[in-house]
Amino acid sequence: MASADERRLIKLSASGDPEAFGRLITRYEDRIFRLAKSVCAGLPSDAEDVYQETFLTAFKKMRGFRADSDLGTWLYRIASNLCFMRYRKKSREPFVPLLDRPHDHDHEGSGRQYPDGEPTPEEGARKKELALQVSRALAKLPVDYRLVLTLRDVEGLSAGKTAKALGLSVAAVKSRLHRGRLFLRDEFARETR
Amino acid sequence: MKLERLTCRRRVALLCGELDGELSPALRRVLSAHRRGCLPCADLLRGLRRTVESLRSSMSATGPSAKARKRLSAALRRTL
Repeated sequence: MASADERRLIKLSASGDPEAFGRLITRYEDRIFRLAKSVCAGLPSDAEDVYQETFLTAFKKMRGFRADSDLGTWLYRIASNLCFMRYRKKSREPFVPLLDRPHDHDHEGSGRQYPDGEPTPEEGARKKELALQVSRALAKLPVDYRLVLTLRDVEGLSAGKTAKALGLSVAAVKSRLHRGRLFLRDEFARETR
Repeated sequence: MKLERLTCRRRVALLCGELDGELSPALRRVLSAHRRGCLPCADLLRGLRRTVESLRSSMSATGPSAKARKRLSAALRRTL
């Protein structure tokens, strides 16, 4: 159940208040972008397009949003549909690692210090390699598998909420989740051999 | 329940259930006893756990770039 504050923001957004909607974006944008980035596995412009289209669609359809629904699940559903449509149109695309974007390297070579809690260059490099490995493996999976894996294992949604966001049965979510995990496990093992 | 008699798919489902904390305490005990004597199942669970951790940590600090945020703000303004 949404908080009173969130219900107020939803109501204002539905009446076209951009400031209220901006506050909702701030609450949910990281989650939606993570989903888009994961599902668009290595295609940065696609991830940013899905992120943008999700919130534009939500703003336009806000009047139809039922106040007793979960806004996060609704946004995940919009983003998932956009991912489906995008990948239905496109067949295979060249793999472009997300981490090659200039803003991901903003701090490289700046000679800055690494206070507690911030990754050292070695940790950063390991993390980038891991992200690339995950992107490469995800890109080999069908989009519905990527969505299930991301919603369950990255976003931590329950099987029930994942099923609701994707319009699938819980059994179908679990089946895709188990197969997807096995596939990724084999891919990671193959890469490290 | 005799885990040795389960199909591969059912065994994966059980191990994923263990990973997701969805099993009953009784079933967890059976599975845990089985894993102590079954290297393939123990390896499979370890591998699945590492896979989920890799997936999670590779995405942990992801958010849209400042440029993407600006682009969204501009697009929203155009819809008003």
